[in-house]
Amino acid sequence: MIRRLALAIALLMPGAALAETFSAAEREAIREHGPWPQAALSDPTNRFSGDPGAIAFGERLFFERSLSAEGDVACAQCHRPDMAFTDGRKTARGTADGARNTLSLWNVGQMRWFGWGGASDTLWGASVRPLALMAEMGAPPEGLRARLRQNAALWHDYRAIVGQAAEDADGSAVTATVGKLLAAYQETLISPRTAFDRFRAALLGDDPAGVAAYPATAKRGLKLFIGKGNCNLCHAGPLFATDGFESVGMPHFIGPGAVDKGRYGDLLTFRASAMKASGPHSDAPGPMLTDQARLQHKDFGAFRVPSLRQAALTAPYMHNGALPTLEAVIRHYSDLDMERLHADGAAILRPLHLSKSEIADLVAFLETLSAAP
Amino acid sequence: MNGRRRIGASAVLLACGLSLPAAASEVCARLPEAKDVLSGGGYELSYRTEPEAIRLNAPFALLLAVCGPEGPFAGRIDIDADMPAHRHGMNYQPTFDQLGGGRYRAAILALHMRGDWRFRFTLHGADGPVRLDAPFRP
Repeated sequence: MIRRLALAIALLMPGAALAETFSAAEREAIREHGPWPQAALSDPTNRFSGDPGAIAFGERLFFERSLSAEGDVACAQCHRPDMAFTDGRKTARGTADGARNTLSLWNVGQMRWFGWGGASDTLWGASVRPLALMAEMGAPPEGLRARLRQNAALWHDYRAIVGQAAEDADGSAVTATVGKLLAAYQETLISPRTAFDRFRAALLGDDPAGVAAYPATAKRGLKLFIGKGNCNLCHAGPLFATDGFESVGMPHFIGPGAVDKGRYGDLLTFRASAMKASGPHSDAPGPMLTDQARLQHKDFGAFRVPSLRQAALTAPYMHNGALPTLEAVIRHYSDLDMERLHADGAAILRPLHLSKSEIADLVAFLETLSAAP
Repeated sequence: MNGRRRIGASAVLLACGLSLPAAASEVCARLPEAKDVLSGGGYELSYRTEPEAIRLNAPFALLLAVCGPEGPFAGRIDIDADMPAHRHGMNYQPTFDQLGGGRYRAAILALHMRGDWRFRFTLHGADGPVRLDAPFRP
């Protein structure tokens, strides 16, 4: 009865009916953004991946301030669970001010590269980078082991999980293990189903009532997202992201004479790192796809294509947090300054010249990709 | 985590640089169940992907069979893929195994964007390089 009523209403309202209608190509494009959630992935390079005890201990470490150099900074300080695992700031502040916006940790276990520039190819490697960086937690490996041992309760439980290896490990190995325990917890951070996911299921399952329940403005925004906007070229698949790094016309100067090299600099950092999937601390070392990543000139000033899931909860936006709202992000692409794009970069971006109502529709659509846990 | 797949411990043969045409008597066969067959400069190149269906961002391999005027090709092949309309290529450098009999296997390819791609094969034969392009849509 409800389905018939929804159908009747749709037929009586031509404008609304247009929004209800999706072509075969549009349905196929929408299909690619699901299903959600995706199956949990296990990380073979992390022996603690999926281990319940390690996950629980990793969560404890996530909130543990004593790991930082001065005992005053925890992972959860920048990655606040009550703020979609971000901090609401333009750029992160650990022991000092950083240059980049704090990325959300939702669905981080589904990624191949980590951080804005992909300086890590493992979640555990990415998790220990902030520990060591002076601007974040300032805890070099030698000190981390000592601080763990100073906390008797923490060391006791750490030993219970890690075993005898805890006693024998040097600072670097302890750092990798701490990263793996933190990663085991973060892998469990999978964002909930959203209004979009329910709509997608209804559309593909021929459920008119479910389709009708999705706001018309979001439907128009979705059509723009997969149509005129071509947003789904980069924000693809169930995560609404790709493996890529792009230069999208955001400034990368971070101070007088200082530049954030983005992917270019971070790929070099990755290559020099021991905390990677093919490195000595990996639990499944060997040649990896990520070792074959090309260093390209276009990577200079390029940053990751972030997932749009939970994006409505993670303002401000872009690698430097320069854009305060989703509307500002869409306006950035609508009025894109082509002079700011790489001359040898991907010829994907063009100013979209969106109308005010189109911008509102795109915002409405993007908001349906987020949901409170 | 899907990036943490191992790649084969293959020899990288990109740098061998010489064209070594096989004996004329050697039989050169087109690849069974080829996705496409390309011709040019006296060469015929057939290829298929492994797996057959390519997922966005997921590593895959290309199996090639290359026949020259004198039989199975045994020289250097460069391979790349790009999106002409977007003016960008792959983010990863492929590795090669030369399997003999004109067969090659290129691994560690990954296409990170939906749309029209083009595989670009450059055969370095005795008479200079020959490029064969194959449009491809994952």
